[in-house]
Amino acid sequence: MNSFQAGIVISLGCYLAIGWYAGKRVKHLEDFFVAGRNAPTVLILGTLVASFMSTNAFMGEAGMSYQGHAPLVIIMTCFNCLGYIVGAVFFGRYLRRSEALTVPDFFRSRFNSRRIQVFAGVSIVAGLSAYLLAVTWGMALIITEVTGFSEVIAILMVWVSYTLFTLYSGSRGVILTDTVMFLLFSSIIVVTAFFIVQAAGGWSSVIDSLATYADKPGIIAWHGRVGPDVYWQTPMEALVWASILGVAWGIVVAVSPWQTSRYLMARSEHVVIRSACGALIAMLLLYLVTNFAAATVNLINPDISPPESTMIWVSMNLLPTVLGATLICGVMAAGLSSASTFLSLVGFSVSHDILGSAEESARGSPEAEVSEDQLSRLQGGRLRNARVAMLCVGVTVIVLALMLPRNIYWLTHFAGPLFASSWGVVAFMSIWSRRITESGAFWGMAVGFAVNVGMNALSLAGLMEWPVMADPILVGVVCSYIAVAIVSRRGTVTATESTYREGLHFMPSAERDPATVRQTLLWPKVMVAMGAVIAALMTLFYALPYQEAVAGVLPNLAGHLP
Amino acid sequence: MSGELILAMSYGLILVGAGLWTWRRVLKDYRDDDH
Repeated sequence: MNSFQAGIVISLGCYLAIGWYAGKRVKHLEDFFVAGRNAPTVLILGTLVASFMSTNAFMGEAGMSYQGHAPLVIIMTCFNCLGYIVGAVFFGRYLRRSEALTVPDFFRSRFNSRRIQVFAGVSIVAGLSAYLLAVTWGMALIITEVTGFSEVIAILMVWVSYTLFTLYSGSRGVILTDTVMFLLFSSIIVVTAFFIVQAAGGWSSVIDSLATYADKPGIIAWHGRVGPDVYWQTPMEALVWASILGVAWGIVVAVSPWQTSRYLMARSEHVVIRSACGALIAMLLLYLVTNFAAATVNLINPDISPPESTMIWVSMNLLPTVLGATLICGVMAAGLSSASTFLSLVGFSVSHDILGSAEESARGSPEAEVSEDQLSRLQGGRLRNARVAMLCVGVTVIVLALMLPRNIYWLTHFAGPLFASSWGVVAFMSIWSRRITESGAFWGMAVGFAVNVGMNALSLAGLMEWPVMADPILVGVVCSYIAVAIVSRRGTVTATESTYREGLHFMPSAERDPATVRQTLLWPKVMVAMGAVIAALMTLFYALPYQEAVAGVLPNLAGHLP
Repeated sequence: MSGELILAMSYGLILVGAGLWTWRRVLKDYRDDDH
């Protein structure tokens, strides 16, 4: 067994052990679904980032940066990370206040509507199962490349590992393993970036060389590579593309179930706000380091093919063996953490939102009317049902993973943004609008979903090529809003819906504890300080040296002109 | 001002702006006695 095989097997074993440890503490349905609603900031922060950053961040986006588009990824990150703050402040903390078990369960309570819960549950099953497939294939691809295992063995290994610990420990295990995985991939990518820069001749040499890199001109200019060889013809076109996709993914970050459902596990509303602040800082730093490192790899090997395997090449050819194996484990961890979150959410939705009866879903009943023994039996039964549902989902996913043709890129870009189109408008309006009705919410979700899927299907079939300004995510959001507005205008908001919404705006007195508020205020202060430091460092070590390097080349070029 | 300088400054200032806004929002929502 070589180092890479050993590293993967050991890391998978560690995650299973952590899952087993966490699973022993799962006694009730709330433990399994929402980790007992007692998770501290570090665990919510870890699971937020780990769920968002999948193999795509270290393969797809790193490959894009290697090809010369790191600045576009950075610009996108600027916008989409803001989704954490907007999502936590305007939706996440109210979601937590609702004490729902799942996000569709929240929609059911808010609109007193079983059909909205079922529709939201079905969209989770469709969207996240597709995303889970893409992540499973991504991880299997890494394993086959670095270990030589067959693809089938790799898919089975990956599936068994995330399914076992998710099945046994539910959210309690998922947030713990996510946090461990977040720490692993964050630390190894920083170490990797250091090695890459050293191997390329040190930082100032890297900036000089990349600023004047003839093979991929503009690789670290603010707009990245543009021109006839690439998708973006002009700097402005590249900026518009990155900004629109950044905003679209910002809505995904703010309302998608695999991000907002993390807030249901938070110990308090303050944990929601603190973890969102932390996730914003962590994502900005991680994307900056990962994508500039990937661009720098060009100076060491400009011919990596396919570009998505840049980090795999680095792990196998540039890093010392142990660190290389750790980097592979880190990339795997990014995928596994997303996969476990997706599997758990799909399982919860099947058992609770789709198959669960309206009475089971309704808060307080039937538990309120039974004895402690009966309650315990009832909870045990529902816990078992949730695990069986999750196993069924897992089996379905492995069958599909082995049978379907691989299309990682398309599935990732279809499944993630689906929720922004379908849920985005309804999620925010469910908190902030007095006029949104049950029918308005239902049709808003349905129209956003249908428009997004329809536009993506036309694009996939090659029948249409949508301009950047008409991105399916944003068109879906706009159509969803129009549907909500039109349908709500024709109906009336019931007293139950209105009372529930007002209840969400009633702040529990425990949240006003001055010591807790002071502690929360530390996080935005850290953001301000970190932001100032990042701006200063990027100016001193990127913008100014870049300008000097480019200015140094221009006179030379002028000297060669006739 | 070059595009690279704007990118460098913006990347940090986004964090500064988000921090200041969050700080004010937390104070407003959790310390406002009239709420």
